Amino acid sequence: MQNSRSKILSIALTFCFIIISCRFFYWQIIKAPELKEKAKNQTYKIEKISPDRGKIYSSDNFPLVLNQTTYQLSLYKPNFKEDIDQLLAKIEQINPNFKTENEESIDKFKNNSSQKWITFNTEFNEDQKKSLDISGIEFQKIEKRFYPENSLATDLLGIISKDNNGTQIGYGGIEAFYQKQLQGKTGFIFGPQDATGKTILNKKSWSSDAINGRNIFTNINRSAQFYVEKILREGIDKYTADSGSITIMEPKTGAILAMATLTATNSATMSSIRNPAISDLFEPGSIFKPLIVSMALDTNSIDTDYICTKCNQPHVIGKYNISNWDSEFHDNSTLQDIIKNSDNIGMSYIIAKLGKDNFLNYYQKLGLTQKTGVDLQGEAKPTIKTEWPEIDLATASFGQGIVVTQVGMLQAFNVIANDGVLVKPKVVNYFAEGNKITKNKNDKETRVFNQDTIQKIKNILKYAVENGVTAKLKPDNLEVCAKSGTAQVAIEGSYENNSSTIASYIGFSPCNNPKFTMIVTINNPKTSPWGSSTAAPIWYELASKLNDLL
Amino acid sequence: MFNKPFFLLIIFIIILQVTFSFYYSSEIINQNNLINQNQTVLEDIKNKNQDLEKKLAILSTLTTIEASASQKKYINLKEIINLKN
Repeated sequence: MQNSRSKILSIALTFCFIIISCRFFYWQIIKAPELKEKAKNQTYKIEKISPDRGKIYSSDNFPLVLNQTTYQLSLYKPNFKEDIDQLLAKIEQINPNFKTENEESIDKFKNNSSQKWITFNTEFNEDQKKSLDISGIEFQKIEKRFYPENSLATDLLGIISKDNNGTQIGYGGIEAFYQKQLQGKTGFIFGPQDATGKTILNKKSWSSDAINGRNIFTNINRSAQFYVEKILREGIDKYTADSGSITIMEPKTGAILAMATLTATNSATMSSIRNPAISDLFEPGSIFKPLIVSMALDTNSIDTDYICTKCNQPHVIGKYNISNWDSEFHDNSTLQDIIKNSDNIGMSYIIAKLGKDNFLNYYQKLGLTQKTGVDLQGEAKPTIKTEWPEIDLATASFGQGIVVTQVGMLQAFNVIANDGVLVKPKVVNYFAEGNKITKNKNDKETRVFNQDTIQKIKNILKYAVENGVTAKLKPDNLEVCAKSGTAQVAIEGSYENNSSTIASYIGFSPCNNPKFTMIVTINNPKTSPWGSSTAAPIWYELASKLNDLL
Repeated sequence: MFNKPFFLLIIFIIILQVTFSFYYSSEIINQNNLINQNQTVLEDIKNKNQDLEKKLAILSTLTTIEASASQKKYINLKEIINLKN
């Protein structure tokens, strides 16, 4: 009997042992990798280290864009150790506007017992955060951009905002174009955490350091940019225009010294993402004429002794009549007078001599068929016709029927300022990463016109400035080579039902070894439609300032 | 059942292990606290640096310079160097 009992006991024990062994086998062998991973996830965590976004500086090393850390305040009811009103009074002591800024949400939070948590939009600085180290108050860190010069150069700088994934990225201008360089590289620490969830830093962990974004040093001349925005604002108001744009370039290097677009004071604020100076296409009008004359001189289609013998009447092409802007005729106009008087009839005969193929060849060489490649986001690609009937070629001679961006037109005109060589516009001068400096690469320069042609066109432009309608605007101490333009604005391919114009003035100073090339465009000025009466005075006022600054 | 020296050795080893584990864990906590403190100090310095950079930039903005110039206000910077002998 006893023997059989001990047998049963040993069988039962063996059976239990087998079951337990099987269970051990299941958990320790079969489920081992899964459990190992679970344990690792509970004891190890990955912590992201955010890099500092690169700053943006002007040419005088002034920070146009800095980083700023602020904090958003949250309240969590379960952690309150005092009455909410007492808590709010303490917050109000530190930030006097807090209650008034958040009155509505505070009332809702107080009256809704089921709402445990609230976050306010009011921002607190580091000192304020430290003063509010109270149970029930939590802070979230926010990295922002700070602009010491406020809205200065907004079009050039762009903005940053969160994308769909909640990551801060650049929109428009330098912020977007150089997103990769500015953002840096996120670092991480993968290591064990303690009971409170803090990483145990001295235990075995794997980490990769965050690499801060590169600082960007631009060519933006802060003082020039300041005057551009000030004088443009005054000009838009004075000439009751819809908007206006100005871009200034250093002739030899293509460095963009200033660029701004402003709208009328009473119109809607423009988006900081879209920069009309690079994204809006317009018909350049008469400011295009010096380029056509340069093409004709360069190909020897005409010479400086050219005289327009048919300028005493409209130029009839098929059913179209080409006339002058002032309805006057200038018989036997010299080449200088054609530019001085902005003679459309004379220009239409010059382009006929130049020919379509030569025109298109130079048009392409001047970079007008493609984007300039300026280092700003959002540049528009100009469009060009495929068919060129005689009338379209004739209107192109005075800048109608072709479209360019403001920066594209400036790049092309700058070829005259830069002795016939095309340089690409560049906003950024160099990048700095610690002590390492990387120069922004320059594209290959290409010669468009020969130097003899340049000398001839410079003489013509100088003559036109000193003897034309804008002569009285030119300060005596300035030598200027420039041209005004007034382009009609087409609506659905027709100019007939629209009286608005784009008034412009483009030029450089002095004529030899110029310090700057500048374009001013004023959209729909109501006091006078002409570039010589609206854009030109703005150009000369700025030129006087630039002459002292540069 | 056990002889006495063996028993004492086991007791001693257990006490040693417990003491060492207490010491080691408190050392880990101390070191970790120190690292956390240093990180906070570094964060503070970074914030102060950021704040100073901001203040300096504000002081040299064109708007400030223009306003100071029109009010004929300027900071008179003086430095006296005493050269002995």
